[in-house]
Amino acid sequence: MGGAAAVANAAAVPSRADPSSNTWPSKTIAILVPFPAGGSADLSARLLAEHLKTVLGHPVVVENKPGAGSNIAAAEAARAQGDGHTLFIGTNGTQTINQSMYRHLTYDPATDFTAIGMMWSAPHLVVIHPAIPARSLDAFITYVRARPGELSFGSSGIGSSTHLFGEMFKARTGLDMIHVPYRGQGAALEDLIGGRIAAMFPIVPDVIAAMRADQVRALRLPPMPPPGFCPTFRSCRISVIPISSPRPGSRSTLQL
Amino acid sequence: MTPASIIERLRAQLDALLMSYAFVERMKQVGIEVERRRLDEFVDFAQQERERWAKVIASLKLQIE
Repeated sequence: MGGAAAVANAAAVPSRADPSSNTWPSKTIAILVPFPAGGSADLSARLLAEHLKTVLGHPVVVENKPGAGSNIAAAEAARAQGDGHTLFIGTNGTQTINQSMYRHLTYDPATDFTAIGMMWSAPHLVVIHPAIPARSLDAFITYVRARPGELSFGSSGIGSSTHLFGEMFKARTGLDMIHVPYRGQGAALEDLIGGRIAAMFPIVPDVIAAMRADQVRALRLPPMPPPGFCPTFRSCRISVIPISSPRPGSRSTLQL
Repeated sequence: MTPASIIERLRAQLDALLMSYAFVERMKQVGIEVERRRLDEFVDFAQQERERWAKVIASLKLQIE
């Protein structure tokens, strides 16, 4: 799951027709979401759909099309008519990460969409199994360092931002942890709660219920500068602040 | 391209939603901060993010087929 959601609408097919918004909308508006129903991107899509339906007096539907690292929905949105009837909830996956992650992407995030606007962002955190005796990120790093190759972190899939944050964490700290990709965030969280994996690097909304129920312990992840800038948190003088609930105003998500 | 006049109407409605108390509060409940940006800032921001991630992914050697 990405940390930022944008709404973009497909502009893959240039329209030569006289652009007049007087005739729009002329049919059902579809908002494509690259995740299953129930997550944070889906929630924002549903609230947007409700709002548009009310003000336009026109049907607006949400279509959930998860899969292939969100590329299925993104590719479909990119191919749609550029007539304002197909909107897309883009994420930092579809609009920024996947272009570099996948060798063969069938859409161009920069040119196949017209941006409507940014909607939200949410910080990535480290969440750990509560039985691990670490109350701060520093303590967790020490704990993992003493157990090289023994602990694993789960992600929502290979190439997802939850995977990338885990790999960046490993690169910055020099820790040896095993990556376990799951099919979606839910399955990974289930195994974290069950103690089969030690950690995850999700965004807040994906784990907030488990945080509130003390099923996982959240540690704040500091902003991570670009690679090569500094090899460790310490050498960057980044302070590490443990938290027990998300604090408004904190944003590590997009500071990479 | 999607006609600019339609984008304008969509953008106005997205703005109205992002500024509504009900939406902000609903998102806050699930730990999400609503973040509005000017359109040009947002487009630049997305481009910067693409460049940043390209470096991260190259350095981590994580590209997949």
